[in-house]
Amino acid sequence: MGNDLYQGYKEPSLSKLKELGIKVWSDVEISTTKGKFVGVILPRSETADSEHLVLKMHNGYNVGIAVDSIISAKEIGYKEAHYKIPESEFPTSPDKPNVTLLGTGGTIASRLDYRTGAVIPAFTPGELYGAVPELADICNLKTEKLYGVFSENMGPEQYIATAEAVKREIENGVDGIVIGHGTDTMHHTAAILTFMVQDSPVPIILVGSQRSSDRPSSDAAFNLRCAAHAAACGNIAEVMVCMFGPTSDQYNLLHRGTRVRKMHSSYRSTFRTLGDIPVATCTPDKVTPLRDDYIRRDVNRKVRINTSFEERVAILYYYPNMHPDMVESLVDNGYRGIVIAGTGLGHVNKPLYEPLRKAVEQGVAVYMTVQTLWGYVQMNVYDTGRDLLDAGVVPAANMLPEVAYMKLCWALGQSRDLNKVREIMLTPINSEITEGEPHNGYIILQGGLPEVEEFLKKGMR
Amino acid sequence: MRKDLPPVDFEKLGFKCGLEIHQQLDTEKKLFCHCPVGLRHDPPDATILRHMRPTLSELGEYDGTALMEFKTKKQVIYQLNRGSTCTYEMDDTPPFEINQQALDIAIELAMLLHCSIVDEIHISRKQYLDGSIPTGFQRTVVVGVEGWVPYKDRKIRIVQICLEEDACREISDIGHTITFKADRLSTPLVEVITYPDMLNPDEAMEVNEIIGRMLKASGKVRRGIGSVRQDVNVSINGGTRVEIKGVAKTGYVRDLTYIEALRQKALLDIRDTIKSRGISRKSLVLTKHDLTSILSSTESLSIRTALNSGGSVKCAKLTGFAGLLKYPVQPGKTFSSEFAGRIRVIACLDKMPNIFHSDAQDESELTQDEWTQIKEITDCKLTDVVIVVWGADDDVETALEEIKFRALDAIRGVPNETRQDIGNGITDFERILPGPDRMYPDTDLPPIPISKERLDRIESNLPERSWDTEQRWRELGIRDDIIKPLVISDRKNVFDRIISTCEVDPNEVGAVITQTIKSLRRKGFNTSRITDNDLVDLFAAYSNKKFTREAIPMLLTEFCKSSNPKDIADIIGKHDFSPVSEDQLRIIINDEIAKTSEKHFATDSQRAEYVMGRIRQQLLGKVSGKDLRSAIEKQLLQ
Repeated sequence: MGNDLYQGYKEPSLSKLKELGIKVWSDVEISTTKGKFVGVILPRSETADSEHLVLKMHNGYNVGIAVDSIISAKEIGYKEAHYKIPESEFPTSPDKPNVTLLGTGGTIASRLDYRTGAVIPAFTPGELYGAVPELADICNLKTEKLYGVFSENMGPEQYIATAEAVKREIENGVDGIVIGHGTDTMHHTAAILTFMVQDSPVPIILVGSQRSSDRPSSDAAFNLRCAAHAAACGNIAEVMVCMFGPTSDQYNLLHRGTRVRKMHSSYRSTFRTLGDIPVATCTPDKVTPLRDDYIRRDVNRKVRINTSFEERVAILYYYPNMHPDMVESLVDNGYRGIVIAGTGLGHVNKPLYEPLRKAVEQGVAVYMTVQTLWGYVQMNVYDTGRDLLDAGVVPAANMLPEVAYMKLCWALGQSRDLNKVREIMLTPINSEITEGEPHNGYIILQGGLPEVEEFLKKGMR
Repeated sequence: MRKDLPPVDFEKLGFKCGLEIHQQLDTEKKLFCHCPVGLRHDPPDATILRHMRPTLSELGEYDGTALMEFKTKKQVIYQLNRGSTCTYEMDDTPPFEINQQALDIAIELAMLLHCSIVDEIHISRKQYLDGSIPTGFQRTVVVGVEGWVPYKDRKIRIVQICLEEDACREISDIGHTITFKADRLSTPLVEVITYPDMLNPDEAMEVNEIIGRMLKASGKVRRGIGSVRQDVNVSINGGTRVEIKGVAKTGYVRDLTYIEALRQKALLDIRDTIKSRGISRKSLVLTKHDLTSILSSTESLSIRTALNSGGSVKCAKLTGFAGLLKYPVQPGKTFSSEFAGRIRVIACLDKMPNIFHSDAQDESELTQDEWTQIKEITDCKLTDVVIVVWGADDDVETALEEIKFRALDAIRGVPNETRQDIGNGITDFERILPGPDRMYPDTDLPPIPISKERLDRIESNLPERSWDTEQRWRELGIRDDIIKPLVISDRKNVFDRIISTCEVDPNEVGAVITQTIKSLRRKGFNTSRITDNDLVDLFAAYSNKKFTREAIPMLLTEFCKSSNPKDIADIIGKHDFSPVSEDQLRIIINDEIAKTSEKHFATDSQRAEYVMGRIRQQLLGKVSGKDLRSAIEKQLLQ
């Protein structure tokens, strides 16, 4: 108690503040050995050192003052910050589709946190309306904060709760669902929701932002508008990711939840469909399908959910000279499934054959994917592959490693019988395995080539 | 400088001016990424398209400027050049660690300005929604506060010095599309902010020059066009702070501040007139009318162009405002320009003229008949004014709103705004003046403590302050026209070396450094060949009377020209500078005078000049010009 007056300040700063009779949000004049500073004392980031106090000067700049240089301080006022997005009730209209926005955290809607100096989630319909009023032109929005976690902290508990919330909202009759999500593991969640929530009558759209919404250049508002439109009015009733197409503010892409992957640590256009083309392009007022084989919106379809999940599954990213104990330790620790991201067509070195064979014999489900990300596992071409097949490693065709991981968690959650698991794994639910890769499923433009440079001059993708 | 401005008692007016001087630092790399600093003149390799939205500051308020920029609904295009931009400039990668070299320079400059150095620097974001920075904010950090520079017999106080990244260069701004080149983005610069301690336009200009010289004299800043820009803040009694942005040359400061003071005075006069007519902010009446049908067949080219492309023409009637719009506010500009400026920027109606008004019907493209109709439909009384705007309908609506806002501002007096220098001391509206609400902390980079070791290292290498150098030189009798260019010359150290080791007139040494060498460089000679030692040797020989002053430009020219010079002594040695005896000199002069006997000269002095020109070359370095002239004149008199 009482330390709220000194948010984030630790010894020796804390004692100094108390001794000077000043606190966080005090407007102060401070005399130091170096000169005079005037401003409001801000909370201190908990990860910052304890030797400085932070002052917001009246012109808006922050400076840090060494506590041991302070001679005296005088409180001349008190100005507590109320960081609030202007909030007003989200307008509704009976003519507009109803969309539920499920919040999981992440930077789609966020504000600053003084203690960590970081961006933290903030999420109510009123706040959203205050920040992105255009949403009201698209739909009637209801929001529900399921939990507030960064996407790297997502796990089965959140996946299951999300699937259940989706089912409940669909049964309540919404016209579409938007899920706000951190971008780092958005493709994991998109994959598992594709498996857990099937036969949805309405679109289920995952959305996030690569530039946090506290910045003027944020992609959050545009992403949210596109996602709201795709959910409210789009005709594609699948689990999809809705994020920037090009890095320019032009249009978004709707990616199938099982073929999408985050491909750049910071670009806006980080999400790409791999081994296929996206389902559609999307703007805040239009969804334009790029293909015809999508699942249509159908209010008569009954949603089913299956939230089975086995946690003891790992991805083993193969590297040259990997030792057998990498496999053995997984088995010894009770892992029930291993997804290997193998080299080339799906290979690992010879020393791993034996431990893999033993793992399978002990009932561990072992699946092979490719770390090239594009292309199929094909284990019959070389002896290596044939030996692995012989050891019981199952090729997972062109399933992306993360998708295979999510599916194996889900499959093992349903059965321990490796044959049953194999049947589930190899029966595609929505394109996690495709019959073939189209010619334009692998386009990575190589910068520097004259024809590519020509293309970029016309507008950056 | 303009000579046509009316005399003003600035003290009586309560004139105050503060400066914000932006000076790029001479670093190899940018402030927050590893791209090299420098401008690109080749076509872009790629372009990207973005938009900006306002966000909240840390203290929870939207900034007024931010909202204004949002209203303009601009599409922002960035041009990228490989090698000068990376994904940082695209706002597709978080910042890298701050450039330590730039931070050192900023600390050094802060020390030179007698500032208190901040113990721990905090990188802040300053919102700029005009698109000039792709992130929508400028990363900026206060390095020092509360400094001063000497001026006359007082101190001009410094608020603070910041280290910040430069913005993009604007290429064009047409309608709703603004285009920037990203090469300049993130170039390190310092911003020096003074208190409003300058009390008339001349002081503003002089202090600007003093600070500018101090920054250049450090030798650690970039030079040349665009490397320094100043924002000038002006207010008078009863007015408000108005900021004139991006003034490219110090020489413009005097006229700009002078005319801004006059503008504020005029706006206060207008305010008083409005008040005397009984109009208040509450009672202001503005009515809007659609003129599209009555002007459907107008001959006005501006309006027809708008209507032909599906736009509309509307007007606002301001009750009781008659006559005010033709009130002069700046030389050649009336109060109507204040409306036109805001509409140009905020409603993006940038094809001028963008308004017609009933206070200047004759200057409009509308006919008397059309005005009669407009006045009829708007019920415009003699005491009212009508302002007509045209363009895309959304923009016209925005424009009508802005007319209202500007009229409300007029009742208050001088609006808080930033203005741009449009040449010849005249300014035009740029944007609403931003406040502290646009500042918030940068969450991408942690605070950086400034260690004592770092401060000690910088302080122990601190150069002499430029004003101290200037004062020291002034005491040596050096002229101001030498001192000013010399103190910012990178050869100022060798100057001190020469005047302390050679018996020479410092003004002569200064002239060689600031004029002779500069003119050689302008002629295309490679003057970088001339080392400090060469100059010391040159002046040592000169002070030992090895040759006269006239030989110096010739020697330096030859030195720069010669294909393989060892040093200056090499060049000196090639010449015979042995002095000429008085008798020899007399003979040479008399010979030459004899050759002129056929020629007619109006005066003896012209004849002397001619003779001098004929023999100067052969006596170069042997006889000083002064001695030669007096010898010639002596001979001519005989």
